[in-house]
Amino acid sequence: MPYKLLKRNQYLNWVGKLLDKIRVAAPVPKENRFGYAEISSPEELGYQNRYIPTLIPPKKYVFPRTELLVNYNLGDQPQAEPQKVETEPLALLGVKPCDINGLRQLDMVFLEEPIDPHYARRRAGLTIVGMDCWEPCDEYCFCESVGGLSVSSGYDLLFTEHEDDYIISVGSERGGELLAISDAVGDVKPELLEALREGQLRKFQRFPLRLSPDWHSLPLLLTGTYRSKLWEELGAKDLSCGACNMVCPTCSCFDVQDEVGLGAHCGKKLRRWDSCMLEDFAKVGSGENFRKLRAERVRHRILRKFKYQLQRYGESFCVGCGRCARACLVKIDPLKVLNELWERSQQDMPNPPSA
Amino acid sequence: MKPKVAFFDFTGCEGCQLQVISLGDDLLGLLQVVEVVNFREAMSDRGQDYDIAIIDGAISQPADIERIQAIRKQAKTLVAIGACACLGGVNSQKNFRSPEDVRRYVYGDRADLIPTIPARPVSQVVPVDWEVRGCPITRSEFVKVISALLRGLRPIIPNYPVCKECRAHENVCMYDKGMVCLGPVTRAGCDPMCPSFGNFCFGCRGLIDNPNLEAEKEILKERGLSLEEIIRFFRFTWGSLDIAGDMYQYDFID
Repeated sequence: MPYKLLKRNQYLNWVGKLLDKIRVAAPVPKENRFGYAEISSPEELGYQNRYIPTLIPPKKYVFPRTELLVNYNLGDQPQAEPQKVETEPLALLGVKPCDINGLRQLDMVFLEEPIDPHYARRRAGLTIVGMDCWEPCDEYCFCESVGGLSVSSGYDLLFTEHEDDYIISVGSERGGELLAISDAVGDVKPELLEALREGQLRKFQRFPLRLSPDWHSLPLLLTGTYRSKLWEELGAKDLSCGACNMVCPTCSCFDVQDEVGLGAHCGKKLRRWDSCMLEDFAKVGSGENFRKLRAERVRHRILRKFKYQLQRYGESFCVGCGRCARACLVKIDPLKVLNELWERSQQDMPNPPSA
Repeated sequence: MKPKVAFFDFTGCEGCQLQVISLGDDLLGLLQVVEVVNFREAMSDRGQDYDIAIIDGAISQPADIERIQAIRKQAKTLVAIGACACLGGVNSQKNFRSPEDVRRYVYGDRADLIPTIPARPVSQVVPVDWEVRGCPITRSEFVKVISALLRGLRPIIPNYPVCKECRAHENVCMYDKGMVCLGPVTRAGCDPMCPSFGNFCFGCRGLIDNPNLEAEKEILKERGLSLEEIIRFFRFTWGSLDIAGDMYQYDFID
């Protein structure tokens, strides 16, 4: 993978040039937090390469919270017209490794057969410019322990701070072209690249939050602890508000509903983000609810991220950004849940038979 | 034949009827599909022949009971709109004070002319077919409910807390701004109007089907609210609901 170099003091200059070419969205301050928003000048960049993960992840640009799918007419000659997604190309700046991985995992879900055409159209117009992390964001992020901190693909450009420079990994042709708009971009000397790699190997130790078991073994742990008392304990305090799902970079569930106008016989089908924590999520037409209890829903969310999808796609479908834990009013934190399950499973372990 | 619709108001500010009047294009749509025969806020006709009755306001006087029963008898379908009609709303705050004091405070030396009973939602007096919640109602939800009703369908009303919508709208959580909020147990569907404009949720759309009130109380306690303050917060619009069992145990006459 080719690498390029840009002086850090040239970054905003490059962003200015980028803005002449393409729409750009980046994390900007929103009250006491950050949110992705389109910017029109480099000065609007509120983050100094370090920001607490945005209120909601950048997935909103490929999978909006509400999306029109079909317009229809119920008149004498009923007609349905699927909504065409028209989007101008957009570059996302400052995307953290966790969010790069989140988008990559959404690709795995939406772009496998049958391909989701709405997602595919939006994704095709998206350029991802990442910004690697050297330090943990706060006491909630645990990216390192679930593989979310490591990125080897899923970006067009990945900037890494190194002293006065950015060393830029070029992940795609499109990324290379967008970098080439600035004369300030140069080549990287091999020894600099070597120094960067060494630094990166050491950085993992600076991320203190650890998952007690190795993430590969989580499906096994979650199978063994399916009937753990912990689920009831968590269910007792859970609000089933769905905040965790709304802020999750890998949640992909949606609900499709009709909205029919009053006078004219026309209506539309819309999809909205859904949440497996809500009481009605697993309710079916007969009124039966497969996950009626809060405890069952809390368990499901954890199993979905760390067992079902892990088994299906081969990686943890939690990237450790910590958004759900930050958002949770009753402090349900997946890392703590998994560590507690691990702890209890160790205590419950029967002694091996003596020889 | 278009179904005939009549609007009736009980105790409330009638703002929900104003929401209907300000439906814009949807008001024209409504008039295409129904005939409005009685709507005090908008017309002088007082038709008493109707199929659908739309009720705004809480039941709070003895005469209201007979009146709502008569309306129920006449109407094939009865729709309650707004926090007052659906929950009792802010009117139910009086339920926790001496009825006599309240009456004197409001009506002064004419108090004897105005008998009063504890405020209650319409559904505690007669069966209600559909509800459009909120203070005031959300216009799009009114359209959704009426549209579904006319087609014989069941409208899909959110059964999840405001938090879900609020988070999806990228609002900074009220609790992260040092405020307290009833969003975690209040039924969504308001397009998080209050939190999106910087105010906490005071529960005008009522509770979700299975709210975790114990958890909500714990959160409020953690933020330093006393039990009395919590109960007052819950009573702000939910006073008529038989929720938090202990709500009626406390009497904070001031």
